[in-house]
Amino acid sequence: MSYLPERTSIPLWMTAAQLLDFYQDFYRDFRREAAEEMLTHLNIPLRQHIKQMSKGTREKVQLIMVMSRAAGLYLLDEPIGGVDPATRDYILSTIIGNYNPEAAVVISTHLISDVEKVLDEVLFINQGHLVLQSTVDEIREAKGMSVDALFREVFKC
Amino acid sequence: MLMKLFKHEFRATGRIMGPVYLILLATAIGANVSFRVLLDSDYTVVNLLGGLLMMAFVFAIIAVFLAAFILMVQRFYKNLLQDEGYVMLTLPVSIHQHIWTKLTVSAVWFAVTLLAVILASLISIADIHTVSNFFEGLADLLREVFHLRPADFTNITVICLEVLVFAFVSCCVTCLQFYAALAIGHSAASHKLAWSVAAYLIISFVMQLVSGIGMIFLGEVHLPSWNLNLDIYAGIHLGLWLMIILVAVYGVIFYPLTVYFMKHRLNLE
Repeated sequence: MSYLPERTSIPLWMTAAQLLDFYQDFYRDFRREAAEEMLTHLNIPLRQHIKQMSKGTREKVQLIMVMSRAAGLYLLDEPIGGVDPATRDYILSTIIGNYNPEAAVVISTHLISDVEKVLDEVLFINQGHLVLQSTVDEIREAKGMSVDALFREVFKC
Repeated sequence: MLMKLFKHEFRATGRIMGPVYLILLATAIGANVSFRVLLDSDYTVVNLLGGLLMMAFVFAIIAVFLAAFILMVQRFYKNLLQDEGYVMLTLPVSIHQHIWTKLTVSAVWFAVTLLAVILASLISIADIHTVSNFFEGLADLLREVFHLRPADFTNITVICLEVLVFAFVSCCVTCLQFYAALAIGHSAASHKLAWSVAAYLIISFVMQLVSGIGMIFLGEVHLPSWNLNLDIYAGIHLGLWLMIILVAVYGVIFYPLTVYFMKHRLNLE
């Protein structure tokens, strides 16, 4: 299982290279080459300390570490919250482009319109209770609305 | 996995303790210059500089002990109970491995800090005669050791090992008292640090109470007088092992308390 917490939880004192060492040491399924390639693509020097990076960059680095594992289950808690739209697009494309095809990806989010396009199935949870479980296609075909619109209807204040 | 935890823990703590030891070394050299040159000068300003360098060395000694202590508490709190806990506690390692790593690394830094302060003190008073006297003394000591009877040599070696065990157990139990308090305090929904301080004070109070009652009990109860006829070495071994066991009893209470709250009552923000 590969877990992405909502908060930036990677040690800020580490450099990107030390973080790669950390994940490689503890996870046998960690694909270091894939992670290095993504960091290079984002122009993140391996010697840069995490604390020197912006919030958005830290979020990306943390996601890269999580998605570079060939896990059977990915749990991503609010992966696109608190970042700019361009970063959101990058995060979503990283999720889709790097997860193990035989794995399940569970994303917890309230930014439904951004995430909707990558989802197969949705669960609506209110106060700890499951209020709806459906595939995205069923929502669009049967109810004739987007997941975002249905969410607004179900959780109307 | 344990070795990997050690590697990263030493990496995380060494980046702080390393520079602190370098500062200690620099101030020790400053103190040496102060002793041998500055304090004897006829110029007030030079005397003042000498005094300031001596003070800097004293502050550096206090700082290095404080740094080791604060680091011990801070590593547990920051690395396992704050945001980093989301990464650390989802690693494929047990809570026991996490705790033992923190305990062992803290004990190592306490020991290294003590050695560093002793070395720095020697540096601060060193001159060419001190260095040669030191090596002469060391050679004399080694000659005495090799002339000991086998029984004396064995007993002294075992006593040294027992003292090291006592020092390690004491370090661990001191750390565990803080870890237990932090683990208990951080299971609260809010004001976690305040609850941790409260837990530490309550634990200390209970420890003092139990120790006090134990002392009163030993004083009031008439134990049978045992005519053990122990020789001096046996007496020292017995005394050291009693001390180790008494300290270890606290560890036996604090360790499962820490594990329980970390495993079953963890409440990261």
